[in-house]
Amino acid sequence: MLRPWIISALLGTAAIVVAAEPPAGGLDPNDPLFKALQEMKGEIDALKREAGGGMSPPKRAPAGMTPPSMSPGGKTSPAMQRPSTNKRTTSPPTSAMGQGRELPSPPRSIAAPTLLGPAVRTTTDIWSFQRLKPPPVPTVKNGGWPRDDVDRFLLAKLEAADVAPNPEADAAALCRRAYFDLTGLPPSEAELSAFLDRRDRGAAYAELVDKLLASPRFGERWARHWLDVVRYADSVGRSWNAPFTYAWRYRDYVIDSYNRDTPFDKFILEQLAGDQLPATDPETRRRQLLGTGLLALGTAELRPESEEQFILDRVDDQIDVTTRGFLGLTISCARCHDHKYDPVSMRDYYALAGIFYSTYTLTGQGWQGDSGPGGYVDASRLVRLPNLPDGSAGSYMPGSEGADVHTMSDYQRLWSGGLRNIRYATDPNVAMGATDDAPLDCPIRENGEPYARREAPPRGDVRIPSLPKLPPIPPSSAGRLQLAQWIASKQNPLTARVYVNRVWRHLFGRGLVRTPDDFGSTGEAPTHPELLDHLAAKFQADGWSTKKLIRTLMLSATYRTSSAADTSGASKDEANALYGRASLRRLEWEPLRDALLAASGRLELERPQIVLVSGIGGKAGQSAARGIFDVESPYRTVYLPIIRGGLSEEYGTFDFPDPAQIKGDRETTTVAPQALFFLNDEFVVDCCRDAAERILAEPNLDDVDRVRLAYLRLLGRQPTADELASVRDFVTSLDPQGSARDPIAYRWTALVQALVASAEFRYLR
Amino acid sequence: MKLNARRLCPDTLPIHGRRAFLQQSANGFGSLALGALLSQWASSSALQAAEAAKKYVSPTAPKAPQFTARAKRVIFLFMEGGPSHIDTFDWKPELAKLGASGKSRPLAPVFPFRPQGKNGLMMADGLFPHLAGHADELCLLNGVTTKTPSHHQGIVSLHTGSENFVRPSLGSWVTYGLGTESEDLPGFITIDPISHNGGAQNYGSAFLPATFQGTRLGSGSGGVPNIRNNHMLGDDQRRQLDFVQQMNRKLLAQTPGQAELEGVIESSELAFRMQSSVPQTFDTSDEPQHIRDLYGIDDGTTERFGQACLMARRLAEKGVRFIQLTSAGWDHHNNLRSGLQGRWDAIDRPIAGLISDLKQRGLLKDTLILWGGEFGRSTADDKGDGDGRGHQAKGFTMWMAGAGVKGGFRHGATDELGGAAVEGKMNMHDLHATILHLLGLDHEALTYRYAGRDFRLTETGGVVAREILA
Repeated sequence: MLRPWIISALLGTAAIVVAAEPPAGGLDPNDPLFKALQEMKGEIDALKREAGGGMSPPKRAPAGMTPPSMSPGGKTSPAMQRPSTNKRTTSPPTSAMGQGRELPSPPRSIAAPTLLGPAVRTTTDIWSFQRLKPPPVPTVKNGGWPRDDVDRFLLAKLEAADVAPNPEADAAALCRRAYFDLTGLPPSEAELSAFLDRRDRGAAYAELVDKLLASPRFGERWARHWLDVVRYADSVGRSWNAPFTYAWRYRDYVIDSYNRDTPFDKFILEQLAGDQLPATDPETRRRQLLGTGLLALGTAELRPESEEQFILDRVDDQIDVTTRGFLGLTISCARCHDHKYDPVSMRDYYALAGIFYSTYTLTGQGWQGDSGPGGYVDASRLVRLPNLPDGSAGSYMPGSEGADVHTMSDYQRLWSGGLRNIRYATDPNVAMGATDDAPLDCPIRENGEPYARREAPPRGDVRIPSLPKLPPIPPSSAGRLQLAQWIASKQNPLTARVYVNRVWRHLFGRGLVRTPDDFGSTGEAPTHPELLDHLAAKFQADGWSTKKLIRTLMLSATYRTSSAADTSGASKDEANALYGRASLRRLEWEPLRDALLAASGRLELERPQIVLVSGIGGKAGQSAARGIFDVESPYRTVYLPIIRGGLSEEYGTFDFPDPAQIKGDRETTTVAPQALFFLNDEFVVDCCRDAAERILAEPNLDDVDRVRLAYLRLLGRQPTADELASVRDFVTSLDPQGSARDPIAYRWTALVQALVASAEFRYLR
Repeated sequence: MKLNARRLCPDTLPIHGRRAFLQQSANGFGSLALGALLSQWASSSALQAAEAAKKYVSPTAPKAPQFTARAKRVIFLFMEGGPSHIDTFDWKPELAKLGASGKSRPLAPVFPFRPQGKNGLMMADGLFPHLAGHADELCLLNGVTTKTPSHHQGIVSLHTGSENFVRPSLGSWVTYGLGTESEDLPGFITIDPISHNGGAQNYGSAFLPATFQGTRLGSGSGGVPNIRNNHMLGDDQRRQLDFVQQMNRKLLAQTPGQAELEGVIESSELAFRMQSSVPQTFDTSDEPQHIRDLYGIDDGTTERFGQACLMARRLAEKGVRFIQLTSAGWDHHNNLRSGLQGRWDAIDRPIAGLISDLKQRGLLKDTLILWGGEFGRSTADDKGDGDGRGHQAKGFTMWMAGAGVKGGFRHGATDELGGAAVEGKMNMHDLHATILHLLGLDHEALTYRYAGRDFRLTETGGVVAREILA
């Protein structure tokens, strides 16, 4: 479809030779700032030498880079490489106050005199900061309708507004809803029939929910919701965008955690401080280390203006994902000034920053000023995992040409040897993650400027009114464990509220708090505050079990209501603010693509266990980070690599969030490119052809049976008699003359594609 | 004062909260006096939103500006690499007197200057003869500054207003604020964007809905994706869509009032129409020879950028809101003379042709053209060979032409050697605020609530350069 002008434009681009290179450091050497930075760098280096050589991170990975047979595997303690002292200190850390020698200020005045006094508010009336206690369950008039207290809370409001809830959805709609909500896949026609054939509908539905909660597909569906919140990606983004070779280990950890139903409080501990937790067996230790991948996944500028800028940007990302993801608080707002709306001061921010300032983050990458012989990509900068004696951790797989490709330099060696499309080797015992660095409190930075230092508040000394205090942090540790305990505590009023709201949002289309990532004063108040508190308290009492929470919600009468809106209740509450009926919900990109693959018969349920990315970063075709699977591949969408800035068009078309952003609430836009995707996309057409061939290949069926099968597979229901007639009219109106394809296959493909292109395929009724 | 619709009427957002701004502004909040009428406006727009909830409104439907707009659309001619201001639009006689004196020493302008047009703007003589013929249309901004003289930071900051964070691009903010007048084309199109130094971030929508991101044309994907039906014959696809729409209407009958379903039905028809209208827009073979000549399309030197400029005109005619073209290779550390000459040879006639063509079609009066790169170039000789300059952030030149700006006008100035802006300074926030102002948008009121606060393109800065308003 390229027009000649576009082609010539492309050729034109290729012909341009840009003979230019930026000066060192990206700054004009004549710029006083550049000179200042140079001078400062000299001073810092001198101070570091004085202080005992500073520390360099591991340059080569020892054991992990050779096949397990040659490595001293089997150790249960992590052989993580980490510096002996904090990179940010200039003298040995003598106290938790970090009263080491001050770094010099840059030889120019950056900071204005401080106007930012300790303006910590002393009171707060924000609803989400109030103590969580279960509210009394309201009494309702229609005592026969509720199946759970959840329904009573909702029904009380419905009755107050004189709105009757919808009746239960028809069995087929309910079945399809449950499958997609719990597994992200449609029921097969056999599964659907089995459900529809049951006379004891109530018991059958409860059994179905339990079966789906136990399915390995459940974790693949629900992990993706969490990955949206934690800005998961397989490359670092920003200017260099080097690949994360082992981000997928964290992704798989999240999937497994959902499948195991790891209690959410433990899930928090593992992700923020898994390396600090006790473990008696290598498997547990492994899992706990994998959790800390959360802290390593942020975007980073690998060619930063300064080292301190690089470190503080990372700390900021870690604060942001921790506080917004778990607490719904936008504490990052306080990096440069006290929070404008919430009772969070700059001092609180830097008290938290000290915890991550004392943390060493291992991403498998090095930045420009510290990249070592491996280059930007370097697997030696990863967390080392204990090997599993039973081999269940997987085995070592060499990269292209059987080579041990672990670093950018390994990659470039093969590249200069003429090899293209180079694959990295896969080491079963490394992962992204974090470990303690030498502890050092983080000085407040005036206006967020890296070199405008003020006093350093003690790590973890967060004084947000109404929130409990962090447990005391031992002088020898960064304090991530105490931070995690503070968040995962029943006394923290935010954690459980934020999480149950996230779960609610995925089952009912919008949160009880419609700003799931913002529970501060700028977020919205809950529409059903008592219900939210009821769920949060019950969640804590149920041992923070995600599966129990989901089960409660899905077995409620509210979840089971039909979406029909031609009812009197619907006319009284058009926006469905009271949850009197199920909302139509559009499927996200992942279940849409997975359902297409399922219909085509090509869906591969296996989990790929290899490094998913190629490239080393940068812009050129062979160097740019890219995934080794594309949209056409048979794997479930959750397993396709997420390259920042490099997602194919369909992701944006169906509102996949920017993976640089924390986003617990995806948009739902309705735009023409979505229709064009279903009408013309090659992947869609291929899947429809395969799906039609599969239907045609079924033995002993007549055409009407086949149409029924198509409806069952694609829409999860039987066609009506009217629809059968419309199908006949449509299929016979087609004119396959002149198509190279078999006319029968042509007609059936057209029908399958029509069903796929319908709104019903895209929506949960 | 902030126009945050969500804060004013949080309970009227049944379809989707984020769309409230769009729906309300689709009903035209420009017609009401702000301030005193704010409370009245809030309640009436709450009603309008409730009305709108019943009806599907495309998120990119055209929206009235906040106040009278001077420009309806933008064509941004992005010069990647940082073109020299000293050798083109910023005449520095004092620097010329110093001549060439070696590495890191001042380097005189490498082209002669001459007054151009009725107002006698001093510009390089002979470097861009066609553009010089339009000197009276140009509004030179000689005092532009950016924060960091490195390509990545400069480019990302030019496109998004922030060099440290991933933020929505200028084009996506504009499309978010105004929608698009083109029924069947994306509202924000970028032709041949660079893939490095931020890459897709430069036309991305970050936390704004993805529908406002720029559509990339001219790359491998072929622009508007999936625009061609390659698998169904004759009228079969129409028959197929009729069948689909019949199903969709049936579903809508069961769940009346579902704006999203109406959206599926309407956007499917639009998609079908786009299959013929989009290729027509992109097929320039119907352009007469004199137009081809105007843009230099049959000349190998100007063909590429000429085609891009011609496309820009066709997209502007169709009502596309924000169009960006990119010319790469302006980073002249070396071969300043031949490099600049070569780059200008490739774009001079196309840009002049674009200005003439827009003018003769009556489009220049409401199209804002913006020309420039991420920074300028140093007064000093970069390598000591008298033929190259380094990066310079503290003062450089961009220019505007067309809707709402004074022609034959110079705003701002650098010091006598061209090393730093001293008058009429415009940093990136000021530039963006001015562009939004020309489009009828208040940069302080165009906000989006994300992560607990109202984000703006201009962050906490931005001053409109009122001096340049015609």
